[in-house]
Amino acid sequence: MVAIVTAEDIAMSYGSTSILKGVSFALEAGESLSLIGSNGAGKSTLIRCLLRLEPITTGRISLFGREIQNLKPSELRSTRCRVGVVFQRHNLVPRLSVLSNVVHGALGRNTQTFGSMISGITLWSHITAGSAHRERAMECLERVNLADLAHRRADSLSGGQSQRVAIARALMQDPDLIIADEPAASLDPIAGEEVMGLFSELCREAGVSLIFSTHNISHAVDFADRMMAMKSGRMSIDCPTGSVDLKALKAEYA
Amino acid sequence: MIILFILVSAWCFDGSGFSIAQLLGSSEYLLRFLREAFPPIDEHRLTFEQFHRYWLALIETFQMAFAGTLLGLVIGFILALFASRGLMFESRRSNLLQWSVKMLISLFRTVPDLVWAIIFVMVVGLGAFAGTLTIMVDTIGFCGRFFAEEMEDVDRSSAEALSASGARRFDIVFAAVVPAATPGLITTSLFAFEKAIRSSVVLGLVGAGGIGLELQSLMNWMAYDRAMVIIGMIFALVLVVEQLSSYLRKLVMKNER
Ligand SMILES: Nc1ncnc2c1ncn2[C@@H]1O[C@H](COP(=O)(O)OP(=O)(O)OP(=O)(O)O)[C@@H](O)[C@H]1O
Ligand SMILES: [Mg+2]
Repeated sequence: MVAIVTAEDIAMSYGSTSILKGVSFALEAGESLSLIGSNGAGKSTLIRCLLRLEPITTGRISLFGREIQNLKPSELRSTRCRVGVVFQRHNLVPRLSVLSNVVHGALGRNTQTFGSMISGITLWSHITAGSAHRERAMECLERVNLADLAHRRADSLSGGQSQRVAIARALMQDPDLIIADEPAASLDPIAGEEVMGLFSELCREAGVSLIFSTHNISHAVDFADRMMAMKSGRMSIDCPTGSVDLKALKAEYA
Repeated sequence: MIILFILVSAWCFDGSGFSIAQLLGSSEYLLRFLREAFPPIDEHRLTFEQFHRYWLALIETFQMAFAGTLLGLVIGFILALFASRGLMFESRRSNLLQWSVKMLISLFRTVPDLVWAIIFVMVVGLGAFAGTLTIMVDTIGFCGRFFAEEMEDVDRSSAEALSASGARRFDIVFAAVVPAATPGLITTSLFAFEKAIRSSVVLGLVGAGGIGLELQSLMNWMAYDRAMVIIGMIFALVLVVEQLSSYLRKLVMKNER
């Protein structure tokens, strides 16, 4: 199997406080991985490092077989556009419509084609976007059950609704890998199950790989092939979800 | 702290030559100005032709202010994109560029508009064009600074999300940062226009077009009555523009909540 993500012994610190202390793991194509750990364990930081949003101090990270530390800006963009990211804070553009925010998901892929300067401009808002992009954005909204809110302003949504818009924006990227930081955190139980179900369906049917963090242990077990637990910046458990020792898990959180 | 403030104030009033006696002592001149200025409209002194000329000058003042502001807004916005920290570029080398653009904007802002007007009158000659250029430079200085600050103050997390999806900086700026800064940009633009209207009135004093020239010549001729008419016209123009702009500003703000 091909490794989609490999992290080898990465360390990272904010100033003098070290946050990640030697994390290693690998993710294969089509595999799904859940990430658990108490508040402040470093899950979000690990995710930011994987995308080179934060620099790591030691170690190596590769995405799709390319080491990201040394990529030129254009190479970094072409790598990033294959990764759909859902942040813990959903990070929508507040004054634009829901549909515009979803259309933005196409900006990354767009830079890969010739003449992208002009077509990039049309993707700033759903009003100027071509009908192909608009229809695709509507499809993505339908997948998260938000099609009826397409023309609402993003800052008028509830927490769970904007969470789902962020997921739709990631789907718009047509990603090969989805990295989601607590994607179900602000969703009600049913919407949460739906979103997790959608992710694992993408894994099974479209061969997308998935990394998600969660505080919901049953999500972590049910919707992933493998799970990892983090404890103050270190990987403490890395095992297939079939053979999880729930007692050991409880101990991690204690 | 308070004692220091009082001392500094006393020192400054002393230096400014502030004197109530002098102000009252000159009351005979003030009274003469007022006596001659009122009633301002007297059929024997203000002809319709003259009024028509003032009216055209007032229109010219408005046109100068509007055109100059518009040009200044566009150029100021472009410069602000580069003057704003970590917006267009993020490398070491670009810090130098950002700093130089900021300095350029400061230069436009710190040199007083009358000085710019004198310079432009020398370059392009007397008239409204010199005034328009002056307003433009003034607006670049004003908007360049505040536009840049507004775009720096925008929450960058949505921009970061787009950057994580592989979007280009240029697209990120216009898809995420500019939309979020729009209310601030509009408010600043309206203030810039108010400011331009006020300063375009004075520019005529140095020959850069508009109604200021008429005012100055009337004052020189001691034709205070007609000067009063012009002051009234200026007052009305400034008032109308300020009211309109504060109405538009409220409209923008209401849309936000
Ligand atoms: N920008 C920052 N500057 C300094 N320290 C930070 C910063 N961001 C995070 N940290 C610290 O890094 C540690 C790990 O944070 P992180 O957000 O990765 O935790 P997490 O596992 O995602 O927690 P949660 O479950 O609450 O989301 C925390 O101790 C946090 O205080
Ligand atoms: Mg987190």
